[in-house]
Amino acid sequence: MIRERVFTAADVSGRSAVEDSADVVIIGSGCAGATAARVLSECGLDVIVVEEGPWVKPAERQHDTWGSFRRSWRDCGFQVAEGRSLLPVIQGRCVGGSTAVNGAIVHRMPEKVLHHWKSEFGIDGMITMDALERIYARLDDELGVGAGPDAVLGRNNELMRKGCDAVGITSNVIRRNVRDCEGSAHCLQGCPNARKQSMDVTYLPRAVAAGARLYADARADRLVVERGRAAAVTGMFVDDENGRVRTGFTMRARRAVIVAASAIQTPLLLQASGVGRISGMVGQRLQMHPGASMIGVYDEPVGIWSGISQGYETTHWWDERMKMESVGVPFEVGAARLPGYGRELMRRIAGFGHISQWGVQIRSTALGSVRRGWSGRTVIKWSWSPEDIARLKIGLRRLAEIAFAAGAKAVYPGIHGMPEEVTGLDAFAKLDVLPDDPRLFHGIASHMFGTAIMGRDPRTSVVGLDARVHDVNGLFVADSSIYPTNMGVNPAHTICAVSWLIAERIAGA
Amino acid sequence: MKLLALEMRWLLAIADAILPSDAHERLPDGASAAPMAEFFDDVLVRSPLRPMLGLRAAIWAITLSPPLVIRSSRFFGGLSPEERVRHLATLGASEIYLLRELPVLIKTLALMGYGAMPDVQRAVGVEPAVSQPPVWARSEHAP
Repeated sequence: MIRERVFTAADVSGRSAVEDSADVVIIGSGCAGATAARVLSECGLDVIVVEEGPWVKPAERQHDTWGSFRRSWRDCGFQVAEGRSLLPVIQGRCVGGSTAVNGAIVHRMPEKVLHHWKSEFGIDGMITMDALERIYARLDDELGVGAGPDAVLGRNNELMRKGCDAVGITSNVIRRNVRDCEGSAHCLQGCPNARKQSMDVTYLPRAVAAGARLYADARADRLVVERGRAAAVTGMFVDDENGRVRTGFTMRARRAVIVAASAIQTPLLLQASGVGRISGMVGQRLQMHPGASMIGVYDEPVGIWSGISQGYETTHWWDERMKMESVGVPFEVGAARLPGYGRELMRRIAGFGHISQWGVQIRSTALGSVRRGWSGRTVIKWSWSPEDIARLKIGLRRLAEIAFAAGAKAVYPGIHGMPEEVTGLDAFAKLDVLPDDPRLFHGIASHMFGTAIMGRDPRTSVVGLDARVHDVNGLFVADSSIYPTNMGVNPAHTICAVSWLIAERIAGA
Repeated sequence: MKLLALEMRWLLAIADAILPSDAHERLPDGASAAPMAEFFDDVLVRSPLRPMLGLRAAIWAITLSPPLVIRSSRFFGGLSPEERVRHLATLGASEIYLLRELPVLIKTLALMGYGAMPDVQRAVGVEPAVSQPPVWARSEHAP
């Protein structure tokens, strides 16, 4: 990235204020913001990207998980949704957003979902399957999308393939945006080899090369609206290391402001700025993909620490609103899922080299909300629906079945009310009599949607079919906040594609 | 946020009970041999307030609750290693959700620190193990 056009809190230290202006100001540098920046800047528009998190270069990536959490993850990985249980909600918070710390999993928009959006929410026009396919092809080419090579797949993924084949279900090596993957299993800490084609090493450098300026450590606090038009973004540079506020900023926009800060942060900014309020829907209808994982124990070595972090999946039961994938988490995270304390735990840690870990991701039906709490903290309210839990139980049982079919001698279900260690599928009959209570499971959620939804009617939606906020000219939302529902598959590629379409329209306006 | 010295002592005792030394031939060193105080200090300074208040509550609850949980006449610091583990396991199996999350929170954090140490990773067989201790652990305390 051209250093002269990237500014951090340290770069502006000592200045009383920072002011800049551009045709378009983009808030957020994840898949939505970076893609919009790449399209707009290469169309010849002057672009500013404002990113709250720090600029963590690949060489600075920490190999330990806490080192990654503390610099690159929202709330150091402690962000939770409050409901009947506390559900960790994982997001990146750095230049490149979640793309810097995700599994690089690529999926396209399922046609059934887009059809549902059209029939149920009236979404047509800009977001069509044909339009998306056109952009997906560009993204695939530019971001090196392809199935991971067998040579670096790793045993955790191979065992999932073996188990799926033995059970007789469809499954596949995951398509990912990675070039020449080395199988270091460090996707979730941020690829130290810069093989993952995350936004910080792809579209942001492209945008900056085309003239865009990137401001990191820059927290957007307010959208400034003048005469009904988005005119500027104000905020503060916050030192990543000590949390100290250094310098205020004002970024003026001549043509448009694009909010691309995620389905959690975008509604907070809209709420704080008093915009998009006609429908009362800002921050409402939060949807997610919650899930839980299952550990398998094998006689043979697995070595979950090498190979592709998330390299294998089955969408065989997608119509039942579930999808399974391998989850190669780092040792210090995976070991925390091992049952027991003391000597028993240490015995299991010593055997960590013989475990697999796979997860089930649920296309949840639950709706939640996001708002700013009285102390300034982010309040995410969300709880699993009973249907979600019923599906989770089925999914976990199926994961166990796949693990046993792959040769596991035991599984650790991680479910309160079940034995810590189970050696046969019969034990899962007990799941049927357990209540549909989310507090029995150790879940985690990713992929947030729907807190500033798109629609024709300003009374029921926040943005129109062109992604412009109904009540403010020149203000657009480009991230998954505008999606009326979740997708059931990893959304990053679609977020890129939809943002691309929005940016094309702004560039042509 | 920073812990009181007393709270840090309690936290290290809990971490040591979760990850004891001499518990397995391949893992001779437990949490007490790792620079866990430095790790927890870093976590407390960097993390948002609410989860760290949760950590503080977990420390107090685990430390003071043995009389209620395992009917011991002593607090956590006065328990034998076996009683400490029994106390943690009993809490972890509680029918009350928030109670069983208390030891899980500390276990998760403790493993994030302990598991990041090169000697531990090598002992477990992580390949390649990290070549040097994490930033927070680069001191003479590293095992």
